[in-house]
Amino acid sequence: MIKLEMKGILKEFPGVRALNNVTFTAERGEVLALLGENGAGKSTLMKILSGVYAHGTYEGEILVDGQVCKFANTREAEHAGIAIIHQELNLIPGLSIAENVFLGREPKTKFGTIDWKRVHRETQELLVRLHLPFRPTDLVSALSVGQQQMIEIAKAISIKAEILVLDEPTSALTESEVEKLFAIIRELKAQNVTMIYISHKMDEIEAICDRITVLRDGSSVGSALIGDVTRNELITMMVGRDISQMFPKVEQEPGAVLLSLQNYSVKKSQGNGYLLQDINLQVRAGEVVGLAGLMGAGRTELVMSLFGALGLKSEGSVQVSGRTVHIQAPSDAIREGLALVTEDRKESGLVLSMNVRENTSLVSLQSLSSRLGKLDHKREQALAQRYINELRTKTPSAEANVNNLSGGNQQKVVLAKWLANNPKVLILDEPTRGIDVGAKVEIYQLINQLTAAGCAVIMISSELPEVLGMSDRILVMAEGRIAGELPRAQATQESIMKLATKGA
Amino acid sequence: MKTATPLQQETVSSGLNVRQLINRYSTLIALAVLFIIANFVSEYFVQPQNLTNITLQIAVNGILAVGMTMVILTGGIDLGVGSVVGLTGVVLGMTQGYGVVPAILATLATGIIIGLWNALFISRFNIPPFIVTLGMMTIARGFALYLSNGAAVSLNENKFYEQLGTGFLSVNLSAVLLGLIALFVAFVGFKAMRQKSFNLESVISFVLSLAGIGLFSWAYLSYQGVPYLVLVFAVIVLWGIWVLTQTTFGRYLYAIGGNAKAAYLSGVNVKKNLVKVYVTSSVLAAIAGIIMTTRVGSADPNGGNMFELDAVAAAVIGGTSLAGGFGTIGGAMIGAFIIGILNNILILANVNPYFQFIFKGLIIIAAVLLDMKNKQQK
Repeated sequence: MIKLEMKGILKEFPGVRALNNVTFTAERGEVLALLGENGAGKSTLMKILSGVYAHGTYEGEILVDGQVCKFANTREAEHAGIAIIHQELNLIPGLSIAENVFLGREPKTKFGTIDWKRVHRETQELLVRLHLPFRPTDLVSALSVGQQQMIEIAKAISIKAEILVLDEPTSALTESEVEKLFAIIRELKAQNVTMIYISHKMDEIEAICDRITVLRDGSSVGSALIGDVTRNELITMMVGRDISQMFPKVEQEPGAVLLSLQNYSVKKSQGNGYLLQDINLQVRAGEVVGLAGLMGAGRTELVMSLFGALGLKSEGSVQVSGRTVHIQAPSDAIREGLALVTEDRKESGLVLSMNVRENTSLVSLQSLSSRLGKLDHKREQALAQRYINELRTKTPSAEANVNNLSGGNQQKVVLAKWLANNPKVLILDEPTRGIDVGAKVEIYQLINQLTAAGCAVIMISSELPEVLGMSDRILVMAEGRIAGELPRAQATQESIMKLATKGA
Repeated sequence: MKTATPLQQETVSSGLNVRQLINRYSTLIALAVLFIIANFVSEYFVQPQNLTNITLQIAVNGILAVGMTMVILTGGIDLGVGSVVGLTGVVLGMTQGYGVVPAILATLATGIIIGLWNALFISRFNIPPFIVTLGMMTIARGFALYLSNGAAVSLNENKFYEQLGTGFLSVNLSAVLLGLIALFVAFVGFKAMRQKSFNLESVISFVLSLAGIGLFSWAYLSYQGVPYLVLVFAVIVLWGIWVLTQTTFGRYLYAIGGNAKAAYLSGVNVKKNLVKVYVTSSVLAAIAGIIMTTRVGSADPNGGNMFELDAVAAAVIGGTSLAGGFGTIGGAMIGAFIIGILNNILILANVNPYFQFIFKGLIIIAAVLLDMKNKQQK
């Protein structure tokens, strides 16, 4: 039985047709994967469904249970039983779990005050149902991103959502949290909740979804049952061309040691424990060293600390090109030839208020200006244009605001910013998170070019196929230590997971 | 999102339609409308003397707005500048006996010390700029009152101060200077026009800037020439525009306001740049203090009261975002002129002076409302 139908949806933004006659159906109790490259129109379509774009700002119609719906705002969509869990979570950190769950629809006592007893009781019931070990009064700010996502789901359940949209729900979750999420999805499915699952992760889609609908360039390309298509067929549907090799790894003969850590330790900011302990690692020119591990294993902390961005004192020694260095701030690290692509490009990678050119030149601005600090605009423009061409960044021009680019192209701008400074050691923290398949492959090819040019690369990734596909060696971290090292030939998903869960 | 091909982009940039132009230049248009209204309110408005006076009145707020815009660009605010104007005026008055150069150096040093103090608490101890500078607002005022014992300090007769505060560059020299400026602007403007293949936008800004220079040249030359004080003001504005558009320091201010974390991780020394910007703001306030004192001929310890709010208003009317990351000195100057001309009209129209406050408040709100609507449409 058809629960949701979107017919002939057409949505235009100034200068861009984001959706072109998209038709889309979901059955009752079905988990439907919505696939497509970034910029294909998935988010726009879901924003129309959830009332973010009001009726009248688009063409076409939405039918829920066969009834035509004209949502003027998100509240009306919620009333119709549509809930959306955004990639960027919408919780208020300073409020408690219960306050967040009932925000905007607090039950009232007969005196018109908030019925806190009921709020807390019902939240407690939800938490128990989702097996979450929190109290309703706990502050959301104390929860991890993954835990916050569970609270979002609790909220959706509490409004009795019949259609639940999950936009990249696992991008910040640990392995066990993903399992928990899947258990909840299965439970909701059993209760006939229709779910639309947006993700780039094929493993997850195969594990949890029933059917797949693919969007490309704002149009629906097709729909198929999970078992009926192969992964390569799907990718071809999404990208519109055949990507024969997902991981185009080219191995280089390793050169001199460019970065070396000896007994590198960092104490926690509070207490006596160690955040990072006795880390020994070496990266050679032309090498890609993968850094694998579970969330919270200390991978991001390691590279941030190494980059001087953690603000904590370190012990042990760090050598760049065989010379001992003391890095206390990112500017020191940059001077030594390190570059760090952070895991969250919007939060710490890009200055979203600036354009492509200004973001590209940010790291190397000093070398583009006179000693007195006068900028050379011509060289800056040339630099930005050069990297747009080299990385094939899709942008109207170097003057376009980065905020308007798709995730993959934003990531290319971040990479351009670092490459412009000719780094010796490039550190990539989740370089392909939230990026479509096509852009991923382009980034892998770029890694190959860099290693061929003698750059050393450290790559953190939570996607094991990526770590396996692109690394020469894999270091697995667990609880702030290096749990083990695996050469490319011996590494498998199982061997990595075994090391990652060691002692846990 | 579909990617516009280069060809499409070309048509977009040259084909900015009239509505987009109106949106982008809404504050400039508001200023022009205000100018036309002013003509109807009083025929005295376009008199050379009145126009000269307007620029004299705007100078102090304009100078403060240059510093304020830079501070706000980083996501901060400097509420202390009004009191600093008062305090530095008093410092100038009290040190005048040591000679012109030592007195001015002492005044500027006061500005530097205040700026360093603000920056210390903001960048080292991470106290919000609002709080630190709110504190400075009272501290500086307190010092001004304490040092002067609450009484105005009058400036002794001194050629330099008199000329700076009330003198004019001779009409002949002014004519040469303004002619050179007009030539320079015409040259730069023409180059810009040619670069943008003479699209509507570039032609309009070319014509408007020449018209503005022409109008004020006419006013100055048919009155007594360019006031020295306006020269100082103009130099500071040009310096401010230069800093924001041509230097790494300016770029870093935008980056810090846009995303301080990303800027820091890109190697920007956030603390150092914050120190620079708060010192700049206080030193500009000290210059404003000198200018105001020489213009009036005495330093009032209560002088500059609430000037910080006018400076914030000028910046905000001119499109500067209080969240940081967006804004220009040019915009802030349009804001300062809107406030200045509005005050002038209300005086010329004999409106109860207290209404000035009400109108100013309404204009600030209207300007931001308009700005937000424009940004949403984008």
